[in-house]
Amino acid sequence: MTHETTTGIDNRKMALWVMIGSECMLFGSLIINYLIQVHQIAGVENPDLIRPAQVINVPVTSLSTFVLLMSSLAMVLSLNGLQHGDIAQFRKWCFGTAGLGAIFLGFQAYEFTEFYWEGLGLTANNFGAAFFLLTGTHGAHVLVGVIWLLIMGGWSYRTSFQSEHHSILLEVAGLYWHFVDVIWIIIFTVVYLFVLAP
Amino acid sequence: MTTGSKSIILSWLTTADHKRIGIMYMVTALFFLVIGGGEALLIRMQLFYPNNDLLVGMKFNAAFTMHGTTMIFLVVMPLNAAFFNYLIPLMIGARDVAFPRLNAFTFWIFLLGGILLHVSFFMGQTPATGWFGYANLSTKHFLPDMGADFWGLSVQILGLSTLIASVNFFVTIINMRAKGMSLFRMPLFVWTTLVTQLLIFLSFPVITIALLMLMFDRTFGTNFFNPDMGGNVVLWQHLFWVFGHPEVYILILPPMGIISEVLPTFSKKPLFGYTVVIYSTCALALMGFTVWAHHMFTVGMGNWTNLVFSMATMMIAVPTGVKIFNWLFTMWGGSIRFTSPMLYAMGFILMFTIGGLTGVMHASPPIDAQHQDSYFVVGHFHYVLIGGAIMGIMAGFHYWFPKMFGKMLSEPLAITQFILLTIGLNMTFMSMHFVGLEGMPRRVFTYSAEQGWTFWNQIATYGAFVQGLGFLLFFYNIWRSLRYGEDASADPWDARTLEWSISSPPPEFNFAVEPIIERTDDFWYKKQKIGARAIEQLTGKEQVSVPKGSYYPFLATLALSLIPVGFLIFTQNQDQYSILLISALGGGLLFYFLVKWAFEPLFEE
Amino acid sequence: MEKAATKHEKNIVYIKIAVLLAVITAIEVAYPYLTEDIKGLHQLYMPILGGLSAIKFFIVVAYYMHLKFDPAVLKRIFAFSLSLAVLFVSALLLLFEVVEF
Ligand SMILES: [Cu+2]
Repeated sequence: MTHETTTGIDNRKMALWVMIGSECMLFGSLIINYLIQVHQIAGVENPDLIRPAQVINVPVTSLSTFVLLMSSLAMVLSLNGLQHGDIAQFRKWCFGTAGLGAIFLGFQAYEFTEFYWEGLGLTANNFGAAFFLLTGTHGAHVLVGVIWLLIMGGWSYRTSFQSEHHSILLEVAGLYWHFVDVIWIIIFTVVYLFVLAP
Repeated sequence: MTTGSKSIILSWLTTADHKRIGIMYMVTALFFLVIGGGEALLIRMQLFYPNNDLLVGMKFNAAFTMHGTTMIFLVVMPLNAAFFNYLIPLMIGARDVAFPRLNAFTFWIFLLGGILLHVSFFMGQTPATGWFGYANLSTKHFLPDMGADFWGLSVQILGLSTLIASVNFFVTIINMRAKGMSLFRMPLFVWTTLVTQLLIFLSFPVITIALLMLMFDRTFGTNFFNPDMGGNVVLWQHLFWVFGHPEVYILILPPMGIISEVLPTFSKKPLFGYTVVIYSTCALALMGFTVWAHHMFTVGMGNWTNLVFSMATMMIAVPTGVKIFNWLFTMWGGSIRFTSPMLYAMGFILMFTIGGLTGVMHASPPIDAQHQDSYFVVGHFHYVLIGGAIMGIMAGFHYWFPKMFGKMLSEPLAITQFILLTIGLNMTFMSMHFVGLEGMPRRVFTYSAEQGWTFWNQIATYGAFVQGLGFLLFFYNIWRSLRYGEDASADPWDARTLEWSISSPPPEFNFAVEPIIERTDDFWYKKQKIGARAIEQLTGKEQVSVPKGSYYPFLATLALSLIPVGFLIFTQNQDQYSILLISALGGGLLFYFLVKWAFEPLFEE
Repeated sequence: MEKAATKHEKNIVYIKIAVLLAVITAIEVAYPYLTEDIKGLHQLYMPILGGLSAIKFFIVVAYYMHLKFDPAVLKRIFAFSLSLAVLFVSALLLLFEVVEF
């Protein structure tokens, strides 16, 4: 019952691109809030305030960034497999992507607890609050992606799954996944690397 | 309850038919119109006498907050959405929207948001922040009760509904058009809808984040908007108006599209400068994102900032003026029929122009410094929203009612209502300009007799009741027409767009034969060529399969409703994190239903 | 790369892109330590790192997200949304004097 669309693009794929457009503004708001809060805290003279340079751990996050980057590779390999009817390649890399995403979330959980023990809880100051809001929202997106991919991978064991009909669904999930990765590319630079600015 | 009526309720509960969803949007929005209108009348009654004590202090604040929030999010936006739902697929020659069940979901969560906002009434915790929720008026320190929490969560949910709908309609318009319906053959209402969806999906995420930050401040103890702890209240204003100004276009563009359909039909002429109107609509949308700080001229952003935003704002008058002249030239030399939709459309042009002119006035920072927070501003935006948006919506309502319900409305009643509304709104809102120039600040619950504001306030109140009388007549007209009205033919107005080529009301599958479009106003030209057969051609008897209904949009909404409930209880017991398990349960159920929904086939197998 | 590429060929292309991305990331992470030795890199810290992340951003969007080979309408949706987001962030950076002229 699939209907030819006007542009030839699948409705779901186009919807996801529109959603990505919307997410640009969502993360734009979070990033600008973070930058403003960091700027404001820089102007406050208070030795007790925890500042970005004291807590941000670039080496560890470089590692998790690398993990997320590799998950994007796993994602395209998975989709490439499914588009060519290679279910084994699809499955391997689909679960691989979800696994790498889960490792990334593990890093984030580690980072959050570290910050907490160093005294930067959610309410300690506005830099911390904005940091948790930004990276937390991103983490929630990763979590959604992990669940989505697990469902896609799990579904492939059912008979209702047909690689020729359903590769478009993996493509849509993949677009979402890459976008979440792309947002992290920005966050990594803005939140982490800029802290080391001389 | 008999099994018959039970199955009727179930069929509406599970429907994925865009026409039924459109009707549900319309009925719900009209219900909220009565509530929002009632609040307006209460406000006007309080201000009738100096030192009146009908509605004082926080009660008055609650009344104008609920009035504003209701009218914007629960009346004008859903009335626009009702037209999107009902008309967009018909106008582009499609059988349904791109995602029919998602469409049902957006309606149900819209209803949830509306109900949630009004539950606050019954708990005595009515929001009193103003519809703009300015921090720090809305922070815990100044509003410790749950009002602002109710407000924030409801607007968040309504925003979610609007966002999902915007993706759906954007994709529908780009991707579901009939053969030959290229972008520059689409009816203008479809165009303004498309641009509106773009505005929605790019501006609503900003308010989503602002509301999230407010919720974190109020519920989880952060200090984004608390200046004592390094927060910044101006940040809220920026985030709010980055959303808030495009929101104004989200309200007004669809009515502009409506009158761009009504004016050509009743002038028997194609729309003057069709492409120019489209380009100026796009220009309006683009510029709408660059002017938000004109709401903040008195904040102290500095002269250069004010200058830039002032210039950008004044430039908006250009595409707006272009449109107004295009509408006027559409009527020029046409054989005009003064039906009720046409009168409303003409009323729109005149009233909207008045509102637009005062808008250009406070685009100038020094003038705005005088107008800011006075009744002059209230008068201005009510001309735009009632004289503009509501007039346009009324034009659309009277125009498409026969299509939607298969019955004609009474023209004399409709015209009487038009006259009452026009007189009433000018009495109310013109008076506000005068009393504003005399210095009356907005959002105050009373004034003293010596201030000399009594006369204009009383005129404004009389006017409000005249408008109310008009709306009573409007509802009577609907009731009378549904009961005794004469049946509408497929094309009662001799109109130009595709929806009139099928029966009134249309069959469930819309088009028996998918239309093929050869030019703008294709249906009109086919009528000229082959006469009434243009209608018969498309109204065949062929049965077409339609999306079957689904329980999941409704069930998912029920699950979603647990999330705000958990948060609201938590706000009153902030040490008991276990309460948030209610929200978590809601999230889990929502996830479960969404997965079930994803694997449920859309069509009968 | 698009037409008639076999599964294997595509896999190779994707892996090459990943290597490129990894190299850029390595440069990014190493950069702060290089600035200690080379004076000129000091002033350009933010522009260069911002530029590198933008390159990564567009490589992923163009190739992994396939946008380079997709119809114009999708490109337009993304380009418009992204430009608006950049405009919005830049405007607020100026308004809050995080960045000054
Ligand atoms: Cu504005």
